[in-house]
Amino acid sequence: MISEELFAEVASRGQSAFARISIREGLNFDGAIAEVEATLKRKITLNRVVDTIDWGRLTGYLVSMRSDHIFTRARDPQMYQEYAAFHEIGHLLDGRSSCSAAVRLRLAVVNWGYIESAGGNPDELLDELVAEYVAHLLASAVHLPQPVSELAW
Amino acid sequence: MRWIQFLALASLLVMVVARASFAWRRSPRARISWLGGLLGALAMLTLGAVVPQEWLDAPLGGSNLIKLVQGCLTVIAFWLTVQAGIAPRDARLRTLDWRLPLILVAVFTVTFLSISDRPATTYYFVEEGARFHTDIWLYGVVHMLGTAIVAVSLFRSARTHTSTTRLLFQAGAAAVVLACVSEIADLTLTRTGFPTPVVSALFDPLFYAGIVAVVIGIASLWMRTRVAERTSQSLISELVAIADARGTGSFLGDPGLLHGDAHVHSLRIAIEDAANASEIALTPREVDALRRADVHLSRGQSLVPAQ
Repeated sequence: MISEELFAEVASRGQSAFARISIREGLNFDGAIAEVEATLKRKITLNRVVDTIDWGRLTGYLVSMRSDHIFTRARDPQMYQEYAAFHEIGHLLDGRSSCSAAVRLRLAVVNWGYIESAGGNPDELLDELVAEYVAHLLASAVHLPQPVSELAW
Repeated sequence: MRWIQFLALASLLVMVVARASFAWRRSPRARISWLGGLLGALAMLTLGAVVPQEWLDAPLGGSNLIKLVQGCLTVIAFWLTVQAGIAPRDARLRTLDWRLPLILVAVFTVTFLSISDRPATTYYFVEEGARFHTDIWLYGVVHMLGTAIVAVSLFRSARTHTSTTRLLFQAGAAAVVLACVSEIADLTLTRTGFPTPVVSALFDPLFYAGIVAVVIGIASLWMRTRVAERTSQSLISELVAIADARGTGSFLGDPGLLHGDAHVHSLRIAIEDAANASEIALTPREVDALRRADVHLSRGQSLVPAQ
């Protein structure tokens, strides 16, 4: 279980990270990526990986070099791949994590317990939770706004 | 044309009554369209299909002032329908830029009150009066120009809607614009001594067919919105059952996201995560549920944003 104190820290860091980009009406996935690139002043390259037979629980990962490369599994539904990409963008916007690691993996959410029991350090867990928090906010901003015309009547 | 007027009035009244509770208790933004519907219904009511025009005009002095009221109600109703489609997500009645309708109402009023001698109530006050009086002709032209301006903005605003509504709004707005143009031509021909029955006969069928198209467009938008809300609720029930069966963990995002479509999204991610984490593949039924969730969540992506 995640303690209340830890969740409060996740929410605080997650909201700060999300607040770094401006969300405007009608923003789509590509627009969100462009916003993040403009905020970070770094190029982000998306790669849809076809050969993922050995990925197991992995749903996406980030490699930060001169620029950032996000890898998602090509066979996953678009919505899920975009969410996995948003998780990696969460790391980039959070800022703290990409400094400590050049490669970040996104494992399925229910693996938080796995990370802890496998001896993953608390900082790493916190980074992952913040990235997940930001991913949900990004997805809600991009996919979920009810069309304005639906609000009309 | 009375049956068309009655049909449009009845449709608007049904939606105004049915939407009243939602607009006034749950959604301040929905008050924009709700007031548009109410004013549109009142404008239709002034045509005399239900209550004789003489009765309505009598308290106003029985000198056709009801025509001015009708013209003002019509443009404000049209304008509110436009705003319902294009105003920002957090728009409220008081935050709308009311300048255009207020200017039109002011221009209509000044032109109408400038008419030197208004006869007793008559349905064809403008059409008959324009034959002999330039001031009545001027009011008719100004009124039609103002209505056409708002109808053009309705045509343009229709791009933010889904295909059926867009088509109905554009067809309706185009018919109203053509009706206004035909009326200006008719009034001018009459005023210059060349009354043409064919041109005179164009306004009513064009204008009221346009109104009916817009009302049907509103009704289709309304039904589509209801269907989307129900789809969201039924998807949540279906996905919660799948998530529980797969033993997904508790939601770790912003608790504010656990409602409506955001809830659908968090559940669809959690279910696919659970399948990946357990390495127990999704069943065809689960895959189908996630596919339907994705289709539902993507429904706004093809629409032109309002702002």
